[in-house]
Amino acid sequence: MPDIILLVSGGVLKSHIFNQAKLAALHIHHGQAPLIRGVSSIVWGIIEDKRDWIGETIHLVDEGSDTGAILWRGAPQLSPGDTAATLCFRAHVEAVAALLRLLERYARREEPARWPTPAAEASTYRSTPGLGAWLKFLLLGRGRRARFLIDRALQC
Amino acid sequence: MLNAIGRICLALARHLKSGGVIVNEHVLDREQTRRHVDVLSRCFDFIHLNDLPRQLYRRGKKPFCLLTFDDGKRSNATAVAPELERLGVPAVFFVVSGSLDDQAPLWFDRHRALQKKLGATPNGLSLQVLKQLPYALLIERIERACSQYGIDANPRDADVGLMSWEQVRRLHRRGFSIGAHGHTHTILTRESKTAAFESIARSIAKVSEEIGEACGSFAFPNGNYTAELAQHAIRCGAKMVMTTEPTWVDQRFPLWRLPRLQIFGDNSPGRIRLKAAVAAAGRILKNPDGTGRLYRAINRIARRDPTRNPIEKDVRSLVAEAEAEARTEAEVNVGLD
Repeated sequence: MPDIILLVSGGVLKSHIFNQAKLAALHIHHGQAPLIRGVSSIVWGIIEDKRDWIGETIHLVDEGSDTGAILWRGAPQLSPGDTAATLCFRAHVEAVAALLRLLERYARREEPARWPTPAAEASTYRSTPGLGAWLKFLLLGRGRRARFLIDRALQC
Repeated sequence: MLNAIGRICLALARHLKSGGVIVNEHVLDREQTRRHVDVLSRCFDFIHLNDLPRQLYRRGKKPFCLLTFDDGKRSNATAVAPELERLGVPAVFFVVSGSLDDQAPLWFDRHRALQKKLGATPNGLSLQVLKQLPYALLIERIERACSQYGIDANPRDADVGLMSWEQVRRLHRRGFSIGAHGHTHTILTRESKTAAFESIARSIAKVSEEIGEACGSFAFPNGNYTAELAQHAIRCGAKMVMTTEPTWVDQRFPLWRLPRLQIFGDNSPGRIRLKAAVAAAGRILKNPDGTGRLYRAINRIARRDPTRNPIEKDVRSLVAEAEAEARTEAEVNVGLD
């Protein structure tokens, strides 16, 4: 039986799988859960002009989709010139660094504290972007959406 | 041909545009310094950093050129500065405060040494990837590769080794401006905000302490910035913050986001003229910070409604006085012309 099960993006695990972990089953979600759950959350953040969706979350795995208790949440700095690719890359690098810190705590048999999230935080679920969303992303990405990022960066 | 096009465009710019260019250099030898000054002096008047806010309104006469040198390499003090002094050209030297303390070669010089010796980029060490990483991870990768291949940058090379603080103080005493360029050469937008804020604050404080007066300028390492970081630099005492957007600069640019045109030591006179001419003609050149041409959108947004941007308000109060003074002077100059 594994001490830790680690899921990086990927799908939803069945309970008989994640329950096998002796210490914890952890998931790196590329997006700020529970604000945004599901697939391609950073891309959705750009498509829907939601700056606070862009980030990364490490949470315990439960039966829902990105609904488990949150252990860590972060967001890369949004700077002029950023794209979905650079943001996903940097979000992942930050999440891996945080994951190492969490694993060290588990190795010391310490239970990591839960990440404080506002109780009234709205939660949105988005699945894989469909053709329409991708077209919107690709066609507008270089114009309005790229400018959205820059605009937000300038106003931050 | 390039020379002719460059000359014509610059001659047009002189009549049509206000302002000038801020040139961003890194390492030059004496001969290159002479050549760059010679080429630029035909089209521009060199100015001192303190005159920049006023000069942004400059119109109807030769455009200005402010020379800036990033990173604080030893050759800046031993080759560039003496030559500039002899030619009577002012300049700003942006130094990496923490690296000057420990005299360790900067990460990209170590990367260059690896690439030169190995003839190729080792796996996971392409500049495109490295420049997305936080500094600690970037350094860890470079360290590991250097020890694995037994290669490192040679700090005795004046284009790799850094100035001492004594050399920095001497430059300052000789009339050159000294600016801050981060505590390490961290790409600040890849760090947490707290770490980036600290790097900016420490570097400005350290430079101020060493030169014995307030350090008035900050240049973003690699040119990557956010408005929030620029605002922090202003709060820490910098009056002018520089990026690497390769465009002409005039009064439409706020002092917290001054663009700079990058020129390299081996650039021919024709290429230098053409770069300056293209910068004057519009936003065509690629930003060397890796954002390509997206900075054009930034400029559009920033100009569309400057009052939307909170930082404009903060900086405006800082520079209002200088700008009012500049406007008065510009009016007087127009009257004289």
